[in-house]
Amino acid sequence: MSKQRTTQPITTGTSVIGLVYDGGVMIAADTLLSYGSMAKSFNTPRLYNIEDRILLGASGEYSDLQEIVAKVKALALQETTNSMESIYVDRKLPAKSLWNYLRAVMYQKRSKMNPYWNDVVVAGWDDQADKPFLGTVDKLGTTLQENLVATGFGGYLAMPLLREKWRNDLSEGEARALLEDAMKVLFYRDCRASARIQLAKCTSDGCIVSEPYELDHSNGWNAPSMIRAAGDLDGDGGW
Amino acid sequence: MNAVSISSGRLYVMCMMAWLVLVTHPVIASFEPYQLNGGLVSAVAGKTFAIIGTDTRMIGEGGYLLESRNHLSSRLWSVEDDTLMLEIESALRSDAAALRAVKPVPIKITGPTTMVGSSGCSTDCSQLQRVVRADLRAASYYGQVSSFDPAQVANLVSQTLYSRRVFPYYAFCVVSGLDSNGGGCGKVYVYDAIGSYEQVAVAAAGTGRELLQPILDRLFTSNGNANLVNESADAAVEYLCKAYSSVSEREIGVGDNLVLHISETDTEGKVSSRVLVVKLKDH
Repeated sequence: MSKQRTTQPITTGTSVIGLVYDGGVMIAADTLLSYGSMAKSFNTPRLYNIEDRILLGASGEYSDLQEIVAKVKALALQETTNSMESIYVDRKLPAKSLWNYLRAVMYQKRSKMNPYWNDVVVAGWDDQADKPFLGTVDKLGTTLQENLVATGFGGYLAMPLLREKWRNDLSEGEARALLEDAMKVLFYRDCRASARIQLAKCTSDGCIVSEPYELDHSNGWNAPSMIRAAGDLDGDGGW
Repeated sequence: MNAVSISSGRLYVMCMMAWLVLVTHPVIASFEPYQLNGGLVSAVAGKTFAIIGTDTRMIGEGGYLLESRNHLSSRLWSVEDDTLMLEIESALRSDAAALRAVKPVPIKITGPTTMVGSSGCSTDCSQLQRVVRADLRAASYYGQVSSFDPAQVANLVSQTLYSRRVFPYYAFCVVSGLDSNGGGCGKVYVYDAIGSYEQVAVAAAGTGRELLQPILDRLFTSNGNANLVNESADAAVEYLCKAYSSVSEREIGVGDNLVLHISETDTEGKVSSRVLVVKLKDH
């Protein structure tokens, strides 16, 4: 049998968005798994907590994400159990090291023309700099470290809103409100998104990934832009 | 039935089948391993200085998505393992307004002066950086090189780029540094993605190169030695700022901030480096 390569994603997750706030980093993603235009599963979490230190999330092919998470969990475990110092010091995998490791993995896969078809978001607390860390790695191995990140559709729909409202001294509550607002917009306008989302945050104390919950979009369909324009009330609705 | 009509019938059937195969073959989705991430790098060599500069904009998939206004790590790097550019990137990220001033910021007194700027596909530029640094680190450890002179580094970059001739690093580079053998004069080299390079006085590479190079060619002068400009370092900085401002008006992949790394040799032969960060107009 001839060797096969990834040419297109089949079972996918949509945008992951994230921001750095005063004291931590927070990321969000919905829990919809799409199979082309079919909504395959409504409760599929795409944000992971690695060793209570690092948050990992990705959009794109879900099976590739599962592979990546398996590799990452193995690496993190190896770091705490196998490394030379681990019997003397409590050593845990830093977020930035994981980000760099993923870069190498993604680059190697893309160089074999067989990528992991994902945009991965890595978040954590950078102990060396005593600051939150937020970065992305895409399917080519392109790395980006920024205060605001968004993968997929989020880059077009959510990023302008995040950039408008973001300040580097946001409180946790404000950060959460901003992310939820952006996720709501994504639900309205990304047809592969759902209102059931998951939030995850990381501070110097550790990481928490929330259970999936529904956004309140009960008022959204009343927005002026959602109401049928007067122009197509006559005739057959065409324009 | 005679032989001619049998063979022409068969010929007709074969033509028909060939045409059917051609028009009905499935279109295979494929993966594109490259992405143009924008960025414009440039360098100027003078009698007592070498300047290398880049903008900090990173664009994403499709060419219209702006991913970052503060990207430096794959764009401008020293051949030694120092983190100067990463620190500047981090500072831009946390408090851009405070950093952006056309004011000399002395970073190091003596230190790496040989710098590489690379633009094109950001992931390939990052990989190139790792490979070149690893090779130089190993060569230095085993005593094969004692200093990272621009001429040596330039050759190594060329060899590294050519080693991937069949699946190129999509990295258009410039190399700049002070030549310790030449009395501390600047040396600048410019590349294409597969390693062909030449020493020049003024170099540009990346998106918007066609807009920048002619401006720099005209602003700078050089007599005799075609690989050095007559202007002083301060004049060169001024020209580069103006030129980048012009390019960022019309090239979407160029803008946000201009980071200039300047290495100079003073009259006693002492080397100093500084970095300037200049805000380009908001577009």
